[in-house]
Amino acid sequence: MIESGVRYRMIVTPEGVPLRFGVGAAGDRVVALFLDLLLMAVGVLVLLFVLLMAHDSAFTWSAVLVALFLLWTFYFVLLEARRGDTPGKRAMGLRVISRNGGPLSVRAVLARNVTREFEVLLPVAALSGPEQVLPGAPVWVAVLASLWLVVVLFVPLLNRDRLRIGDLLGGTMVVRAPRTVLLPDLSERPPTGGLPGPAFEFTREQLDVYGIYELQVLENLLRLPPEANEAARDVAAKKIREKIGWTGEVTGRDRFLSDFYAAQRGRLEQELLLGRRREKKRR
Amino acid sequence: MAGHVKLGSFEFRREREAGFRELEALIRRVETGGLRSLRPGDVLRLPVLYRATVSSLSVARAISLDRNLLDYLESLCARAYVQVYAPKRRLAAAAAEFLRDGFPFAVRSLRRPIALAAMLLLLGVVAGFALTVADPENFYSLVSEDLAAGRDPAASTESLRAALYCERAPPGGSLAFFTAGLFTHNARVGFLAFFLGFFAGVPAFALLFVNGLTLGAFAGLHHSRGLTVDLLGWLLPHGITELTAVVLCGGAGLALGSALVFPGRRTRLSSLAAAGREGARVVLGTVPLFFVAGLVEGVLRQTVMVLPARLAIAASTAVFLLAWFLLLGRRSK
Repeated sequence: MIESGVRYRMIVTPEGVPLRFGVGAAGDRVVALFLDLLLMAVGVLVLLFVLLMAHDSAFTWSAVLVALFLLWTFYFVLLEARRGDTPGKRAMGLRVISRNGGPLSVRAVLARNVTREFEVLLPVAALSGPEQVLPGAPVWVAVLASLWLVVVLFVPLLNRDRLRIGDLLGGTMVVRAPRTVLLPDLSERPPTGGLPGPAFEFTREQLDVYGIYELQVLENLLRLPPEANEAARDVAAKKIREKIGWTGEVTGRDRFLSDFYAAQRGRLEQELLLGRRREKKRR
Repeated sequence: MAGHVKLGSFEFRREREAGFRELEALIRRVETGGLRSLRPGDVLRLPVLYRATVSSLSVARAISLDRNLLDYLESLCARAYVQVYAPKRRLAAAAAEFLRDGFPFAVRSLRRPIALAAMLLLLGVVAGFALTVADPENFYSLVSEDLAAGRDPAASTESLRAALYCERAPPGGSLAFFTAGLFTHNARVGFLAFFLGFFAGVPAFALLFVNGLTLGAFAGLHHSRGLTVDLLGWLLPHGITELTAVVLCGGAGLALGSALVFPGRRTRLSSLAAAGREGARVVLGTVPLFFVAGLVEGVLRQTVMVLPARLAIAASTAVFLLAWFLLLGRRSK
């Protein structure tokens, strides 16, 4: 499902309700990874500084080596297992969820992160120098292996849900966690300084012209401040009058539009209750 | 207009909006401060509000055409869903339980691919051994020069024996650093073996077999000089743990390959995810194994020079691992 440039995926929760999640964009995820790497690098530098100030010995260095390995291996695992995101993902508005709708399990997080190094960092190393991938191997083997690794790097771009191999193994996916603000119901808000009750009454025939799509386009129009789209409102009001064959006076344009919106929504919702969903206008 | 056009969806929203707002406030607090930032009463309230809101979303989809309301509920439910179903475990407790029950259980549940991985490694060992014994020249094509480091058919028996017992000056000059290097390198190889399983298992096959060949070639070389037991004493104290860990990772990788190629009644994706999650547990459990193996290889092998002591260490690690994998984690899950 694609809507205004964002891919969506329905995930069925344990309650049996399908929820709509936006698929995390590849670019956002790359940026999130860079942010996390940056954060880790800063942490490592601080660690090194403190340790070397305190005690510069071979033992300290080996502790640093083990600490680096553990940090690199478990940074993503621990953070994603605890809260479903990392600081980088959070900054980019991304989250990890389980594709089957259940809770995100620790082993799923593990599976998606154990492969991270080979999927993401090894291909980058291969791009910079194929001989680093298989030291000691003949050149053509190293080049083939590097090509293969580069293919692996682009796996997320080859599927709808932007899954990398780790996501396949963990049964996870990365989704957008955008926030929508609840705005006032338009059918309630009286138009600018209006009187109670609708100023315009529409007949059933007039309300049977448009469908849900047009209703929601009108909703978007009405949610913008009137000053911002005077011309668009004029056009919309004119279009609607022509389409539904409105013969009466139109005194207040905004009042006309919002009355029409309320009446139209009432009519379409009534139809919806009867099981008739009219997606688009008839002609 | 509210008093005039009675929209069902309007009434619906008016009745529930307080609940939506309350859930949104709670979720915002959890998102920034974690579940701990909630008062006890709010923690109890969260799942109730979540279920109510999810059910409101279902109803709204059926009766309301207010795009903003629908979008809002979608996003609120999605945000609440990830918080309500986020994993929340105490780390220390989870780790202890994993080592006690989860890891041995996961190992047993993957016993077939793990046995296959062990057989592949063994096959490599036997082949490398037979090839080297048949013609010592084969050693050169089986073991790279760097790895052999002078321990090849051209070396005298005495120098081979000396290599098994001498305190090799570790690169970096310290046992601790050498150990750390061994641990991190070997654990990476283990992860790689798991990852390679994804490609229908073929590279994992190759990785296990080639490692077996190298081992077998060394064994063949030392066997032909009558140093078999000494080699075992050099290899097994850390080798049992390390090879077990490699075989476990390789086995987890083979399980991935077979899940991809033979998904059975499931879809390929779900079969792969199931094998991946199970395999990841095995791979996690090998991290401490690699650590212990690195410790033994880096420290004990450089300090313990007596053959019986070396063999005793090897035997006790074998007994410990067997007991761990066979006896623990049997309680019903």
